[in-house]
Amino acid sequence: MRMSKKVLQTLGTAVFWLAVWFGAAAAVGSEVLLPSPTQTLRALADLLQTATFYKSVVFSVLRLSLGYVAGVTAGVLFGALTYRFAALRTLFAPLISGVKATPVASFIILLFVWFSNGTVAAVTSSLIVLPIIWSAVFTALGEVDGQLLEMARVFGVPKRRVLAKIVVPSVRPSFKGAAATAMGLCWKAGIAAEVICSPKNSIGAGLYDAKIYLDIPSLFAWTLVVVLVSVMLEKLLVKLVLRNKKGAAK
Amino acid sequence: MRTESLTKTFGGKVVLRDFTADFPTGSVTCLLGPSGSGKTTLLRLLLGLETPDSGRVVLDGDTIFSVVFQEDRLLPFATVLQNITLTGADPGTARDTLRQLGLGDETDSMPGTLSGGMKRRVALARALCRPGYTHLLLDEPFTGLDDDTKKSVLALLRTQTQGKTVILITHNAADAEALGAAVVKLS
Ligand SMILES: Nc1ncnc2c1ncn2[C@@H]1O[C@H](COP(=O)(O)OP(=O)(O)O)[C@@H](O)[C@H]1O
Ligand SMILES: [Mg+2]
Repeated sequence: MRMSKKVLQTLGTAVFWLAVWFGAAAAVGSEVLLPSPTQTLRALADLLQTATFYKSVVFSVLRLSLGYVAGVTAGVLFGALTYRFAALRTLFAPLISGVKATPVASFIILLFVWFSNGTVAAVTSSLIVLPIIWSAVFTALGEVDGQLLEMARVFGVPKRRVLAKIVVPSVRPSFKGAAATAMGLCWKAGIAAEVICSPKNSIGAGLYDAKIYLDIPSLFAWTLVVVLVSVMLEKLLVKLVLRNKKGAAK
Repeated sequence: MRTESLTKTFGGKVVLRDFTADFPTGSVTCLLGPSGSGKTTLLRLLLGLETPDSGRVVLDGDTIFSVVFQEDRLLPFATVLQNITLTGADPGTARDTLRQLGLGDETDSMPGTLSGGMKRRVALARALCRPGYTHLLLDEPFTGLDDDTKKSVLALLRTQTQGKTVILITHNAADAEALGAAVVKLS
């Protein structure tokens, strides 16, 4: 009973906002300014019939996932090393603050000067992920229970086991949270980079072309795709990596 | 094991002054004293977790410590059994000890689901199962145990710690008697 009530609520909310969208589109009365849901769906159906669409989605996902994994790996490494070695902390602190404070757009344009189109998106997404994971890991390492570490030392527990059985499980919850947050941001920033650099076979290029040709229904359709893929990726991440008790905080 | 005129202060506050005591090898010594008298501090000095302002700790050769800290210090994300095998203890031995402490059904429980007295006994089991320990330091190990449980734990301690050097911190002089232990008083 409670399940069906929840489903009903979700359905009701969806219907409400769809109605708002329909109403607004009818009021505006121009496909170029605000396409209606049906026009958007039609554009999406058209997209689904092109090979470019599938190539774009696959390559964008691969490109940005690569950036994500690289960013997470670098973030864990930076977090651990700067926690362990104060000198590295001092050295890298300005770099990390710099990366954090720089607007994504500046990055993208700067990287565009240095790298090829496709690489920019991957590097951008990794740069978004890096500081998030870094500070989560760094902070969590500082919050590992000192009493447990002291106990392990007194009991002569080997360092590797301390790492595996105490440090990693302590850091894991914050790591998971940060990894999930970073995923969403990484995806958005990566798509933005793709729009600016417009590499072949990318969702960003699709968005860019739609804008150039003032094909607003197709712009909406691509945006819908971005949102859907983002949700799917996040679900997948949680299912495959973050739920799994072992191997998450590697 | 002994201490030679140990002095320890924390921020100008003297906790131990010129403390000299002997803890004979292979027997039980009880540390008695009111709260705040420096019992835990003494234990930490023996373990080398604090450095004395002056004086020194003289350890027996080849000392391997096992400890029940004043806090339980159990890993919250590991099962009861995993908490004990963390120290390299044999799982079979760990199960036996848990059974003897009345925790036979809790080997796979997480510490968060246990009562205070149960956690205390897990900490005790971990200490008793450390492979090859020679010295056992117990900081108020009976906290949260009811009288019957405490009695059986005392009985277990008597048999399991034969030949070990044991230091037991307690409020209760009767515990010392039950273990036939020498008493060192702190004030
Ligand atoms: N790390 C510390 N920093 C400051 N004061 C401490 C510290 N450890 C213990 N003390 C103080 O030393 C005194 C003795 O503490 P403790 O050894 O824990 O006593 P007991 O175990 O006998 O209750 C207390 O007043 C306590 O506040
Ligand atoms: Mg104490």
